[in-house]
Amino acid sequence: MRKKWRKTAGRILTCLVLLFSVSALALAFSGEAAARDQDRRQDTDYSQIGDLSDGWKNMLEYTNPETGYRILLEDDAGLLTSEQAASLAERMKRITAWGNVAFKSIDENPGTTKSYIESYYREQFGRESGTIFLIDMDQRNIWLKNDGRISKVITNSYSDTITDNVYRSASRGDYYGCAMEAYIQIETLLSGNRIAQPMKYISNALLALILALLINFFIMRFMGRSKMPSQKERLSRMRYHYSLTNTHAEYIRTSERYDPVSSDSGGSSGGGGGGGGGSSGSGGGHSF
Amino acid sequence: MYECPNCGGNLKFNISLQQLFCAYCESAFDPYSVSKETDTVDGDCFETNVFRCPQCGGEMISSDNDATSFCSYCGSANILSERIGREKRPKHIIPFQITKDGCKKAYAAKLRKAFFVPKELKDPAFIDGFRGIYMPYWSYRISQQGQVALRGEKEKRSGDYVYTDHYALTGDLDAGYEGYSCDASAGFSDNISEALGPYDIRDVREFTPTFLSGFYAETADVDPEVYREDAEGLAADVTFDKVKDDPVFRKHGIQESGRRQKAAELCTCCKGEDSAMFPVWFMSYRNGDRIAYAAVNGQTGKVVTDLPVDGRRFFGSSMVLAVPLFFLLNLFLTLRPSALLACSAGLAAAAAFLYYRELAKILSLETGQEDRGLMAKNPGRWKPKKEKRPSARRKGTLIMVLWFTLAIVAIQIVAAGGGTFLVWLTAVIVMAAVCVAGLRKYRKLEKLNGGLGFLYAAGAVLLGCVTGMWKPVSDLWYYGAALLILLTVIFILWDIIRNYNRLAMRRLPQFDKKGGDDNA
Repeated sequence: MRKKWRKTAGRILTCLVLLFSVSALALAFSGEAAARDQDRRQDTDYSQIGDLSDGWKNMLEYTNPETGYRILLEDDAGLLTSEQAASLAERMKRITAWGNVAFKSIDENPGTTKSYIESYYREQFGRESGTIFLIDMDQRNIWLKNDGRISKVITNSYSDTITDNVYRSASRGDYYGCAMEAYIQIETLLSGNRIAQPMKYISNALLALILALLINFFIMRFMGRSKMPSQKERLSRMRYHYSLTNTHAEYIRTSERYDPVSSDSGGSSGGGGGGGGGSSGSGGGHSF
Repeated sequence: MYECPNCGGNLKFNISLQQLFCAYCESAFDPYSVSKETDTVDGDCFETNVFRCPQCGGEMISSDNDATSFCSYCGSANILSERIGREKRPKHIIPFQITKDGCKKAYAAKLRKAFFVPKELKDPAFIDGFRGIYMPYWSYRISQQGQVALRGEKEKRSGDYVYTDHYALTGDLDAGYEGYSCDASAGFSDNISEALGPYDIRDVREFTPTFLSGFYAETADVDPEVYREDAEGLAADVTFDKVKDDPVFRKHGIQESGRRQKAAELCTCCKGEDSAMFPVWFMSYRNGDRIAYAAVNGQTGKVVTDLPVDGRRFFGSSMVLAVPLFFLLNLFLTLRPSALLACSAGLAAAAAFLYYRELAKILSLETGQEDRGLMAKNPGRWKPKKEKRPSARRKGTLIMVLWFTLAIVAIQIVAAGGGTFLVWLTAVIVMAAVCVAGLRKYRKLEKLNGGLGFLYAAGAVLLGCVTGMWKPVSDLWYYGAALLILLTVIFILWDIIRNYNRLAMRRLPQFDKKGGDDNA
């Protein structure tokens, strides 16, 4: 009994060591990127707040004269102060090198967050390159929607990763921090750098190990198989003779079976309707 | 021993020359030209040395007086006891045609592709342990003579009705098969002997004990009745394949029936069987209480071997393989927490199912149910475990009810998700089935390494279901549950590999012959 417990304890310990190694690997991977993120944050000068002294009416719009891309900040849910809005706009301005940028917050949404952001994107930017970060206070969701050139970099999986990385700020009520962090990560990726994805690395490391064990197991099983001789092979090593003569077929009777032909088998099918508009680009979200 | 007529040296059968050869004066003799008085005793018997292993009770015969120092069946290094015995003369023999060097080369070539076997199996000193053994076989003679009576059917449709014309197909059949062979030794595993074949019956020669000189031989101890039906079945299959190509029969839609009925319809009967000895190069590898066999067909050079796994090698190479896989997965795979959870549950179900299959195979192998020769010789050898106690039965029912409830809950959880619904449903059903059926198998097996990993996995999947139902905002819950499930998957795979040697290797044999040590 004691031996059994010792064995079980050994297995648990080995697994913990394994998990620790995988985590260390993942952190090593993400550490570099995270450090770079930190550097970028320090480079940002948050004091350069735009002039909103005329009054912050929960809306800000700006067009980058160099690229022609727009910044749109619509805080319908009233989550940002004027200082925060200016700071966020300053950060969003950097992304206009690649496309349009929008921040949107809403406190009423009868539909889904995804459908809302898709229609909002079409309405604001059409098919142009851009990214929108939405905070849906009604559904308690944050969502990121990208299209055009930006969606080539910020793919669905990156959109998911970014929202996964920032949803905790929204849960704490720090909506400005949440949006700012999202834009920082978007810019990091667009600049060709990496963002921290520790859980992706941990889960992929375990999946890789499991896959490797399974692949090796099937190789082992395949190699260990003994090939049984076929009937043809057996026959080729035997002495045999065969002759069939006077073959004859005699009619006995005819039986009948009722088997109706399926009524819909010959009909033509109606033309299928056109597919829905569907959405292009990429996106992802997270509840908070 | 056979003495050389020229110098009195020990004559041994030389494979390259296919003659008896004296190593001292280098004379060669036709095997039929040399004999001794004891070669024919009481008409159909011959006298020989019988060696018996004191551990497993396995017996082998040899015309040489040299005492063997180890047993090929159980791998024990004991001096075998020797006695003079009378053995029945087989009718035919196929002499060795593959030399020991040829055998070693064929075996080494086979092992080059086996990456995970223990190093010792590839050691030249170990490979030198191959022994030439003549294995007893039954060679069946099947006849099919008479008027065959088969059925033919042709269908045609008219409106909503299908009309079938029935025909009686007859013909005069004259077919015969000679040389379907099955091993007649209970100690020689059926799956090895079947894979090792077929032997080319056209090379058989009349038996004379001089062919055994320099080799060992097993004696027949399985009744020929055991495989007679197989021989008749094979003849029926082969003949039917030819009969159905007859233009008249093909035109009238010849109908195929079951193997037994087919054999009867084709007037199949066994005209008898001849005892024969076929050559096998044989070697055993013992590891603790398990043994692995390697056999090379002494006529064709075909290799059949048990391939045990070296756990350290396996896990080491898996870790190495995991590195490129990890980078590959990172290129295209980013799973959302909920998808990762469902994916983990699916993997757990797949791993648990694999483990269940392994348990079922181990049980079948341990009980010898796949070896008809062994079962026929010792019908009462395996005693199934006692009837389950009522408490155990109650526990089984409880687990079933628990999993059924879990299945319903899981369906409700994933219904909202849609995409992961099928994964969850499959995972839960498979886990439930594996837990119930796997526990039954587990109870019947002794000395299993670990083995209850699937229960841990079931617990982890249950936790995953609860997490899915709860739908927490924080991803950490999902990741925690998913990682826990993935760890249990590694547990299961670990168990599978550790117990794999029970599949790849065999129990130490116990031949139930006087002198065997039951506790070996």
